Amino acid sequence: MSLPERYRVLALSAAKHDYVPLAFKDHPRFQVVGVSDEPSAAGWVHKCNEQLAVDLGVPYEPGIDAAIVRHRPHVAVVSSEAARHAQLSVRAANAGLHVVQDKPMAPTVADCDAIVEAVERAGVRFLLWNRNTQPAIEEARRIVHAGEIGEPRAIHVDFFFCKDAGVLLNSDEPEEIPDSWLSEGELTVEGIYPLAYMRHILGLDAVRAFGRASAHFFRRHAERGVEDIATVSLEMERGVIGSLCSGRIGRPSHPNIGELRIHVVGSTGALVVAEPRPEVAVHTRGLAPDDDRNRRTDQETDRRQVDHFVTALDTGGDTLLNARQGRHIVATVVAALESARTGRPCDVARPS
Amino acid sequence: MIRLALVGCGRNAPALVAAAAASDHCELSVVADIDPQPAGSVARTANAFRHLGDLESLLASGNADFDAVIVNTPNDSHAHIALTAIRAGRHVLVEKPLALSADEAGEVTQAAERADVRLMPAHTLRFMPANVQVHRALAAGELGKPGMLRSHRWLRRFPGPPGGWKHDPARSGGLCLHEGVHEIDQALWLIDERPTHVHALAAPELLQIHLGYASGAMAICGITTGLPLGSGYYSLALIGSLGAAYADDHHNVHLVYRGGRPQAALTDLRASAVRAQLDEFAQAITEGRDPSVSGADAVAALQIAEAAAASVASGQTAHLTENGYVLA
Repeated sequence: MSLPERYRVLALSAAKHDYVPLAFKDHPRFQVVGVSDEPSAAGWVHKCNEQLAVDLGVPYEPGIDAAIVRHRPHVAVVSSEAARHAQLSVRAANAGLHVVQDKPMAPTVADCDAIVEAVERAGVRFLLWNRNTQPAIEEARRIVHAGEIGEPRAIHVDFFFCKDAGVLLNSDEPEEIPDSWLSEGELTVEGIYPLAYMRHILGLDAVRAFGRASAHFFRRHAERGVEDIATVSLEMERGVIGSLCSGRIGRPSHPNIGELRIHVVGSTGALVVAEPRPEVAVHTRGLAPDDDRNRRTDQETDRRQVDHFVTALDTGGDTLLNARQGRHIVATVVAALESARTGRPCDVARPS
Repeated sequence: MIRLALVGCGRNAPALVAAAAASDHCELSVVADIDPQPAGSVARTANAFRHLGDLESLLASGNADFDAVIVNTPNDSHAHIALTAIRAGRHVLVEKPLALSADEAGEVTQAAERADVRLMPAHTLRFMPANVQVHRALAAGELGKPGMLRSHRWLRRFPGPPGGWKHDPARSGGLCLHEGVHEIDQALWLIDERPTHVHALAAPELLQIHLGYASGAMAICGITTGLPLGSGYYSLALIGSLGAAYADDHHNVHLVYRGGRPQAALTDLRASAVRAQLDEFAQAITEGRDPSVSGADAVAALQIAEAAAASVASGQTAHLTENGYVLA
């Protein structure tokens, strides 16, 4: 069977972020044909979807089944609220579509299992969106796999985003963050990225976790009982020690996007990666306090991820982060948060 | 000027000699070791009297004209030498760990209090210039309430033969006591709260200590003693409710271009820390006050280090109690 000249892409909801569907916009091997969602989606979601359709230059058509029949897409890009990820991804896989999905994979391991089951039964490719195509991450993986620091012994990831999430604890200020942007917890939502780094760089999974988590900064997080900072100790395959510090640490806490560091210790050497580098610092008169000073020099990270995905489609090979791997990351986060609740280490659940 | 006797001329001796030479508050009068080679070498460098033997024999000799003792011997002798010095009415600065158990450290601390001499454990990370700045910012309220402490410390592989004392947990106390007390003390100092949970993982030349606090704060500290080359590596991030501080030797590393790839040239910040630590000890003696790091600090760090060691051995988490810990 000949390969399509361009894979047709249907964006299924853009409630949270638009960067995943936009990454496919100008790629020569993809054609975004439309945006769709459930008619029953919330009003604010429809507004987001309409805006995405405008940005992509395609129609917005509520009614997923009809949109699939009309556009005959090869790929669904799912970027809905996290609670609907599994529902939409399973539905797309059942319709025979390859799936690219925004993070987190799903709120529960059971939801992830449903996605794994659906994509494997349908024989379609699944990509959980990640940051593994950052140049520094790719270089770290190359160094480790080339044996330049010997056998990996430990990997430590610091993943601090210096963004705010509403007003601070104990503040009397009114909350300006809309309900639609309420976080489900920083480790829960963002943990995919650092845990995917670990997996990508070492090729190893976590087997046991000890976690601590706290709502340290933001009133909404405290009210909802979700974490904005978390630390995780990991026992990984082959006896490797892992650790993760994750947090939404507030805008004043870093001059740039945040502190994103990876330390890898090997038997004959070690490496330190500053994920955003190389970057350019621009300081000018008139910048607002919230304006970023530093700019990434690499603009091709998302493009490389899409390139890799198209190769997986063309060859039937694996994606950079498939459904089973994504499911294991969610299981690791769940184990860490369970540990934080109980004060005891917790095994990472394997598929039954 | 406080007159010091250095007991033990091992690996840290050159840094201590240099610190004493640079100090306006103390001077090295006597150098003692049971091994003539390092004793002679260090005494010559320090321009100090060389004593071949232990502290007991030094005190019994006619050359005991010193005010304070620096204990720089293998870990399993720290408490005994410290007690010997205290009983002789000498102030004492003890390399970490103060003792091989919290109980033993408590005995040393109580002995110093009874004898009214100054006792200071060498928790040197408190004197690292970058850490001093972080603590200052914290104390001034700039960072708000501490929420997360993250640190990495990489050391060169322990020198000496495989049978040396640092490689023998019975003599060194193992990695949790030998190196872990640094990170634990640092966490106690910066977060200023006793943790409730200690979970530690270890592998050859690696230790990771994870601390949880009732306030919701957390700390995770990694140590490796297996770096093959170079001067080591240090990095610390402290996330507070109002801001964050990052102290490391990575952001602003100095580069040397001498053909091939540029290489890192690290400023020897540890030398500054050792000197500041020695000055604090000497000034505390001169001013008749307690040093900024106390025997009680050493006891607290050792209690947690023992819990960390138990966590490593059991694979469980140590839940700290008033008098110890429970594994679960």
